[in-house]
Amino acid sequence: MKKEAILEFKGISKKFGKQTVLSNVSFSIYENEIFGLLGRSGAGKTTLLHILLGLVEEDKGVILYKGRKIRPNSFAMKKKIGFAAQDTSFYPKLSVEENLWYYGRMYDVKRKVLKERITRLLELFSLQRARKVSASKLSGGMKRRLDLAICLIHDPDIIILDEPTTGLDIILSDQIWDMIKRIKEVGKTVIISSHILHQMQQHCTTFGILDQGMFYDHKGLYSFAKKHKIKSLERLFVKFLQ
Amino acid sequence: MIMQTFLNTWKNLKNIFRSWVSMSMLIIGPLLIIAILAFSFSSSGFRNVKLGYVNEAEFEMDSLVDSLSYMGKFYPYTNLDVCKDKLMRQALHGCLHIRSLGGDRVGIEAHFDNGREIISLILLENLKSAVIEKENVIVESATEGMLSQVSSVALLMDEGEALLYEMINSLEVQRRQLVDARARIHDAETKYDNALYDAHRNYDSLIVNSGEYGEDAVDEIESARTRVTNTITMMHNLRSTALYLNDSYTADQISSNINYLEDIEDDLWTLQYNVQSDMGVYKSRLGDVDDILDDADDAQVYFDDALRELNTMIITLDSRLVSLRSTKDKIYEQKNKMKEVAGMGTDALLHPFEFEYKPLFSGSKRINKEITPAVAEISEEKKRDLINYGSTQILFPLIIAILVCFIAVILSNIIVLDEMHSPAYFRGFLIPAFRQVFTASLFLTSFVIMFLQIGVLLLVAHYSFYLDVFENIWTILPVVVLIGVVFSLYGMIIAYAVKNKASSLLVCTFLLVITFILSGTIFPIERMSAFMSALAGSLPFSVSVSMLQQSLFYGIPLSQMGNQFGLLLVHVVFTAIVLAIVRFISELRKGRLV
Ligand SMILES: Nc1ncnc2c1ncn2[C@@H]1O[C@H](COP(=O)(O)OP(=O)(O)O)[C@@H](O)[C@H]1O
Ligand SMILES: [Mg+2]
Repeated sequence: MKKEAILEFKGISKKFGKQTVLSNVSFSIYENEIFGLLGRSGAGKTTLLHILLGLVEEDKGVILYKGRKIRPNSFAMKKKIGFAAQDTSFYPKLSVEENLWYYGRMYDVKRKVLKERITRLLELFSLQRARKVSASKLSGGMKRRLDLAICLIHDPDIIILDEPTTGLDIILSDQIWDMIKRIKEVGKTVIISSHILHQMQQHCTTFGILDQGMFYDHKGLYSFAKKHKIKSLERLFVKFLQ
Repeated sequence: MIMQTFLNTWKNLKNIFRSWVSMSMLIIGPLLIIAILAFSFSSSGFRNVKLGYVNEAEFEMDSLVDSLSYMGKFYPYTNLDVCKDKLMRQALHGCLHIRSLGGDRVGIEAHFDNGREIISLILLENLKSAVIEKENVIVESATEGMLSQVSSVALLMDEGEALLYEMINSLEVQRRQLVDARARIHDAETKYDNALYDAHRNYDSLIVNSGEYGEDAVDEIESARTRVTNTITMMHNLRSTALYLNDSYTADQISSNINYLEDIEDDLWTLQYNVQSDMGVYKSRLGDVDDILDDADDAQVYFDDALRELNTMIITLDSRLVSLRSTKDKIYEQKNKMKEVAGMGTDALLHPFEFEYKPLFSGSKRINKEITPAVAEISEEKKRDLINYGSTQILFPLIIAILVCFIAVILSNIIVLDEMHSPAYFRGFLIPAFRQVFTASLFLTSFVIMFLQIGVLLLVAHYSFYLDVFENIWTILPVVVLIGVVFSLYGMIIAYAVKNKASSLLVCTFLLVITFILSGTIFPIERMSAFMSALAGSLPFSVSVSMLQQSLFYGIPLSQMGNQFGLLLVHVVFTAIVLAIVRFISELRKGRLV
């Protein structure tokens, strides 16, 4: 059974000045996957995600959502995507609950629905006890969980996480991956960019690598791994990029 | 340690000069301010200064207006209140009330809007010196006038003296002529009398003699005598005849008759002679009478001549009288003038003007109400405090405007920068909302805070400084809000254009400094160069200060400041458009399209 692609990138190219960041990138992401976007620092992972989010305009190419061409910048698309950047993004002076309420209302979630959802999200991310605490006073792990909660506040189909565990210690990383799994369990599609390969190997269902503007999907990677008898993704990565 | 200090200084300088905003602010900023200063204050003249005057003294304004024309234009008014009303509305810079103080003394009341303190003081200073100059001219001309009066009096006296001398001479001549004439008339009179007497006498004798002989007496006598002679001749013939006839008797008879007749003939001769001589005397008497009559005629001519001479004399005297009278009048006039000058007093002479400064604003209504004795059960100390407040009130429109601008710029700048530097800023781009929503809400945020601060400011002005805030709240509030809005927008524009907090604040400070330089509070707008004056006069700060002055001091309603209010609105709209553009460019620059 061939699953329907929820997102399809077709021939996306992007240059910053003379520097080619993405060149003719094409791949698909299927529903309820955890898609791992790999690549060295500066490979263009964030740029690609920002194009999907409508924060950066592509030079060429189209993006299809469920087979239909979309404008990433449209409000409809924004409502379907939840995003958490490497740095958390919320108002430090507002409490956990206030932040969730603010973003929920900004996404036009009905008050009643929002109230329930906040309770559920607080529970999901174990933030119930911190609900009244000002966001700036949260620990690093809690901040990240709050960011994830905010990212889910409008109940998006697709969750995009840009390097969610970079700079976190093992315990925090594990917590985050735990959360990501739970998100997948609810039926969401998750796209994660990272260069922490062992975590990606452990948790992701599909991969793709960005390198020097080119995208290589997991099929290509598997055949490459077989050919070179490489088992660890890390080894594959290093070998591949050589 | 010294090395480290220098190293750090070097590093700091590098840091500063690598941020183009800080660098341009540090280098270009002061230069810009100096350029604006130089450009604004390069001229020494006045722009758009309008002064009204009410001339109740028939005072000759032209020279004063001329000497002050460098300051501005002068407009005549018939009513001081109308003029002062224009002054309150800042359509005029001053009103001169010119009154007569009696004599040539003129009172000049200079009404100035002390609310616009600096320009008023400058204008007043200039006016004062012009008046003193004019006063000097007047004193000079008065002195000159007096001197010329004195010399004209001297001239008049010379004239009078000459006239009197002439009069004396002509009177003496006339006297002599009169004496002469009198003598001649006297002469003629005697002659006339004598002739008349002679005439009478001759006439009488003529009358006496004319009765004895007729006009033809001599002829009758002669014919009688001829007849006698003829008879004698005839008788002689007769006697000869008789002799011849020898009739001697008869001859003798005849001879005796002849003798008799010859006697008669002789008598007749005598008689004829007598009558003839008598006739001659009579004729000469007649000639005498004729002569006398001629003399009488001569005398008449004399009389006529004398009369004519007397007439000319009267005419000459009359004309002399006329010139004497005019001289007398002139002397009288001159005398009065000199009396006037003498009565003027030294002060009036040296100070023909009484110059008085009348400040337009004498404290708010509320202060004046507190001070009035009807309400007053206030101590002297309180009263003094209140009067003191009255003078500080002048500063309030400016203080309010400055505070509002300060608060608005800095507050909105900080609010926008806080948002932009907030970790949450990024997430804003993911939210399905227009960017304008964020900008608008940032503006509203700063507006709400600003509004609260404005409220506090106005309450303080009302309750602590006794300004008529509430009475004019519907003018003051819109003005304060609009100026606040404009400066909030400025602050936001700066924040979007310059994202570094320190640099942004620096730009705000420069903006405020430039605003104050061009606000007319440091240097009056009226003294700036033409272009800068026009520019500065239409900047929102100066417009709102002007509106606040009008409404706080004189209670002028907003409806009468339509133009200025409109200008503020234009500023709001214009600044809002600029903000929209700058915000768009600013968010585009990051490579993001929103
Ligand atoms: N707004 C931008 N302007 C210019 N260059 C950019 C911009 N954003 C990213 N880049 C460049 O594009 C390249 C890819 O960056 P990025 O997508 O952030 O890499 P990654 O997320 O994989 O580390 C980098 O070399 C970066 O310098
Ligand atoms: Mg990245």
